Amino acid sequence: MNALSKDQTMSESTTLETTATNKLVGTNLRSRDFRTGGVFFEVAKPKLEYAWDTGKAIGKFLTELKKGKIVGTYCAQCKRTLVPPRMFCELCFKDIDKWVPLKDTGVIQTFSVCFITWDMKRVKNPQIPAVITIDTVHPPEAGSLDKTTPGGWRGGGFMHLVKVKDWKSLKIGDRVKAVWKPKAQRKGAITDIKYFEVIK
Amino acid sequence: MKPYRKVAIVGAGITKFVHKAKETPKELSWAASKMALDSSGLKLKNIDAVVHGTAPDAFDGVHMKGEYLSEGSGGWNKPYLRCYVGGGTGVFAPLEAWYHIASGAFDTCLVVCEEKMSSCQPHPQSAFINIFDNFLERPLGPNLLWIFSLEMHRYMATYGLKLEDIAKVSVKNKKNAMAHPSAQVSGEITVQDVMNSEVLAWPVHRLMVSPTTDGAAAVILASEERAKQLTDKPVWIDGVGWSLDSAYWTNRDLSFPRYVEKAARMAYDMAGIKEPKKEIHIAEPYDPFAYKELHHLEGLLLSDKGKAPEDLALGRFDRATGNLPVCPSGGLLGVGNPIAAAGMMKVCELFWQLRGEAGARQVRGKPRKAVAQAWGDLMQVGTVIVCGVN
Amino acid sequence: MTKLKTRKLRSSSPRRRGSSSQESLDSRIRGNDSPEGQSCAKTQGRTKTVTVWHGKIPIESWYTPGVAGEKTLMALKNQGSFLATVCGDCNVTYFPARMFCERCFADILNNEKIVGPDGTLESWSVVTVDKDGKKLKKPQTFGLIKLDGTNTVFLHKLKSQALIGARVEPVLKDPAKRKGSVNDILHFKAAV
Repeated sequence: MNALSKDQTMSESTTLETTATNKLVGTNLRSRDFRTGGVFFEVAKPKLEYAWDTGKAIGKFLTELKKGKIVGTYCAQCKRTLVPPRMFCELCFKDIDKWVPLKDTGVIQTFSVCFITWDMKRVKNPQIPAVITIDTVHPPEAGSLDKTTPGGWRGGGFMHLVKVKDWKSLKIGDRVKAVWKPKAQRKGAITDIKYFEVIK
Repeated sequence: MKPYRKVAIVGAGITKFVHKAKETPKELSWAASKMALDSSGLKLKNIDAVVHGTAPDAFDGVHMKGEYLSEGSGGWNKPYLRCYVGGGTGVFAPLEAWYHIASGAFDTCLVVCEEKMSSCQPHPQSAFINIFDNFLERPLGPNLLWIFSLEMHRYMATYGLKLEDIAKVSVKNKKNAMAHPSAQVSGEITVQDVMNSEVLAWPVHRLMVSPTTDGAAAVILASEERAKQLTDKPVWIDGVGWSLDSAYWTNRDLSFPRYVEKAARMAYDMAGIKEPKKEIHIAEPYDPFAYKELHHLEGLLLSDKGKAPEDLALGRFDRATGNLPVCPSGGLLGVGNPIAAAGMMKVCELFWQLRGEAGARQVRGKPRKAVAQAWGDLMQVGTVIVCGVN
Repeated sequence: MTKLKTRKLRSSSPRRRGSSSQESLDSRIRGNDSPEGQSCAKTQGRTKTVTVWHGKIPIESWYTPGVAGEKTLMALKNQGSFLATVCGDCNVTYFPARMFCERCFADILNNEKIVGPDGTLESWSVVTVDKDGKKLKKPQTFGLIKLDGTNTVFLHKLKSQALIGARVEPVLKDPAKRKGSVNDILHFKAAV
């Protein structure tokens, strides 16, 4: 822990403004610099391949999707259905109590209409991702239905895609139903549900 | 929280924020750190410890990025720590450095945040999209914009907000940034320009989104005793707070960032702030998207739920005339968004504003208390810092 | 005395016990660039339970050498010379060139010095497997070289094994073929 030596003065007012006039560091390149040899650069493409263990919860969830069913787990302490399912409740940190069957219908809690791909290219047919809370087989548990927000955010749901003729007619609170792939095409994946469509 | 001793910010530095930098990540880190050191009057040998904040290794394309950046951060031969909570890193890093000193372990600390997103080809999204769940979300072919557009739509629908009101954030911040020497995307635009810009993922329009950026920013922290030796205008860290919500983002209401509120309350309690709306003079909430500034202002308890757009429309957040200037720096929308360094840019702004050294961006009326906040991950982390001058 | 047993290196894609058609699945995934992965079903009793999800994370990185690094590569490409930068206060000469001294943080970008081209071999190693653990057709020798006039080392290929402390010299590509890359140096070899 050095004491202030005599060559250290009270800090002068070296502000952003005074330094800026002496030029801040940062040289902007253009995309064409990389194409035309305006800059040297090296390229690396690491091979990142994974075999992820699903764990018990997601393993069972995917296995049931293959059968055309959606399942969740239930925490009796918090009185909530967990979907995507997990083996412990992250709110109270205890084991879940049981597996519960769920319906394949639900409510749109929010959605978007996306006109670009992940690498920023424009597409003609937009994708409609949505967060859909899934209907429980039994009536919703007390406390899990938030009545203050449109449609009520019920807490248990996942993201998926919605297909609709005119996206401008879609609303938060619309009820939707899963459209499944034929049995022979299901692999045990979230895409065993092709998409959700609006039901009256 | 009862810290052992007071900590102050005594210097700050920043690079230009650019789209594709020629400089290496180390060179960017060094430039910001050197500027911060010079402004504090300290030399590297006077720094006791170093904290570096930087977001995914995949952006710069270097495994163990913290270690790689250590000598560019002045960390050679010193106690060194790298931290990372996505975009929240920029405020989280000074928090980490704060307790290095508040605990009594060290007297001075250099804190620098850096990001070089342009290394990640063809677009940094190829790293970003791995934030989605590998089993249930990535197979749907997602786009990072989805999480913002889904949250923005929920926020708008819950409170009946209009796109035009949200667009005003882009107009304000890009204009504010014209006075920031590091700014990447500043300019004078209108609400109509924002509404006419292409829809990327409805309701998000292009001019509502911050750019991808390369850049670095740094501050120097010192204990009370050292700070008083170094400067007659130390900027005290009055309060810190941080909180992480569940990664099960589809199981919680996205219309309100409860994790920001939790972090804000922690920071305000420590700072002894009972009425933030009255006691905070400047706010730098995290604004990667236009609606996020408003969303976070509500989380910071600086606006009532659903009312931030109204406060904005009434001019309350205007830099020159408002009673609570918000993002006087120009924010991420105007200056740029090098993920970890963006939050640090805001902390640097508080430093300059509270010392009256913000030049053309200066908020008038001798502001004394200010808050900066950063956010990141899957809509999960809130990191908040409250600074003040006597 | 117990004899040390050496284990034979496994080939890539280790078999998972009980998994079905692991290698054919691997080859299908390798050709699959779509964001959708594949689930691998493991037989457990009478019901097939999904236990593994395969996926890829495609990342491509473009690295610029930086303001200082570019000076070194320019000198290598255009003059075939080795450009370093010097910190006089700390007595360190850095090759490749650096913008700043890591020890005292001084700006040393313009403190240029031509070093080498010969140097001393500080260490070397012979690599016989690639990063996936597969045997290389031809072993590759790498060395840590301290160029004359520097006190830092840098990594490059060696034409063949040599003793530590040996004098080495660079073999450069033809000027017309140099691109401004560390590979403008083909390798180092024992100096004559």
